[in-house]
Amino acid sequence: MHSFMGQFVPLLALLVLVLLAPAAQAGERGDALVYADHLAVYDGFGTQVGSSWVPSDGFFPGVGFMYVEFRHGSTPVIVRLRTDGFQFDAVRFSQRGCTGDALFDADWYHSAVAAPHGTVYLHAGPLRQRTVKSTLNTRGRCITHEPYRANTVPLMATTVHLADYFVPPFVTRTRGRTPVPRGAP
Amino acid sequence: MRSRRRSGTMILALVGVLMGASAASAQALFRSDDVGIYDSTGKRVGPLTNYSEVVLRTRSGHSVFLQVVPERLFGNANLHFPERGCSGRPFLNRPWASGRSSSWVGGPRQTLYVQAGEFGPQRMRSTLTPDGECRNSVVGGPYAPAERLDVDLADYFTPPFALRAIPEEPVPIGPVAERPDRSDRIVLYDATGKKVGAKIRGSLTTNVVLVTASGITFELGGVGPPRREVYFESTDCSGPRFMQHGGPAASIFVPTFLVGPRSSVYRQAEAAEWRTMYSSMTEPSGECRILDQSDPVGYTAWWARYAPIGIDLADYFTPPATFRAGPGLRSLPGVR
Repeated sequence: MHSFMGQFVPLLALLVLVLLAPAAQAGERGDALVYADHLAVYDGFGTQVGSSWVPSDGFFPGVGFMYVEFRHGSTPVIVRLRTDGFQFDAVRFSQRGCTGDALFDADWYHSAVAAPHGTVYLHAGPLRQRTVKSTLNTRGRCITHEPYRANTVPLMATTVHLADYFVPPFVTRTRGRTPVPRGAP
Repeated sequence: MRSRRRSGTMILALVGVLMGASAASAQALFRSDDVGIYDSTGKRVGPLTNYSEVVLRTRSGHSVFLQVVPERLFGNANLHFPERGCSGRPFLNRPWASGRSSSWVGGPRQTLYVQAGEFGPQRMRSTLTPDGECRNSVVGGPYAPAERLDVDLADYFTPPFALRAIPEEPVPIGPVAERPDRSDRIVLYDATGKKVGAKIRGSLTTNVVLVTASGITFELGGVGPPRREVYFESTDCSGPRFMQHGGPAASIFVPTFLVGPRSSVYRQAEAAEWRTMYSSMTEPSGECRILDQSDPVGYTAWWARYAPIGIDLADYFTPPATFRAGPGLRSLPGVR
């Protein structure tokens, strides 16, 4: 009797394996959530742009900027990117012909980046009323205009031209492996 | 010997209590660089990546950006169909935030759909709402094909959701100049060189987050002095303080403001209600004025009551505060 049952044990084990295999495969096929432990912007060559954890805005679908963070010494530098390139800012000047002190329209969250090569300017003083006589526009063209008074912050040019280092398009990517547990902890 | 040591410990504890009592703050304060969204069971959903956005991944490699309100999680796009009655292959519109892939969450199990291709011009004839209602209307624009994943968020998370920070370093009382740590990114420092806290990672705000010993997470845009108008139901600026709100809906962020010369932290204590205010006080002057009820805009609106949380920033920080970048942030290329 005992040996008769013993003959069937390997057969039963095989049967169990055959029956469970599709279920195991389905479990592997099914997707699952994992925690993202890294979110960063990468350029067209796969180089990471700035630090990780990139905020983004948008007022209309698809229209907005990614904000990447760098530092210049101990000064935070926050640069705006679009998917297809750098977002340039209008840089004002205290003299005609885009000379004199460089100025920025307001004490924005982000730093100033000037066209056409992505020259980075740092905020270098408090917001107050100053005279503006010319503007380097977002296409890199200098326009001398009638002087006007406006609230501005002074800027200090750096020697960094972002276009020398990063090439669009810019995309955000995440990394992470830790599974999110199902159900309550 | 043992009793002498015990006496010494008790004396030290008493001195600590007395020193603590000399400050007005009723509880200890902690900094945190770990701010995230948590569900009602205490499970972490993910780090805050924008005002009300969390990011997750799928095992299949999709990045999933979700909008979070206390009651539920949403995708960042709408689910459209090229046929009436929400039939045919589903498509997603572009998200509002730049550089994000599109996602949609809906149905009774909070099923996840993700972007599965590039955007191209399409004409859509119906839209499925997150509550499962199909609406027929013709719209055109760039749409990307969507893929339904075998992921139901209801299997993972239980609403309501809340913003929480994990307490890390205790904030010492008084002025203590501190050096940056290797992992510091953008940190707010007070006038004495003491760290206030780290800017919230990945969020489009310059606020920092602090946590009290009792677990209250609150945001700060500065350390004072307060500059704002607060409102009262009384006619002499007495009683609870109120601030106007857009409506009764709660937000992931529970707002705070600072009050008085000691920059006492007040936090929204209950949901906004339809109320009438009769006086207001201008901070920091403390000047009280009776509101003109004939004002056509009126002072009857959605107002929320604020209450002190037992922290006076004056015990901890000296204004003004400024941001500095730490070694944990990448340097601009070409700059050492």
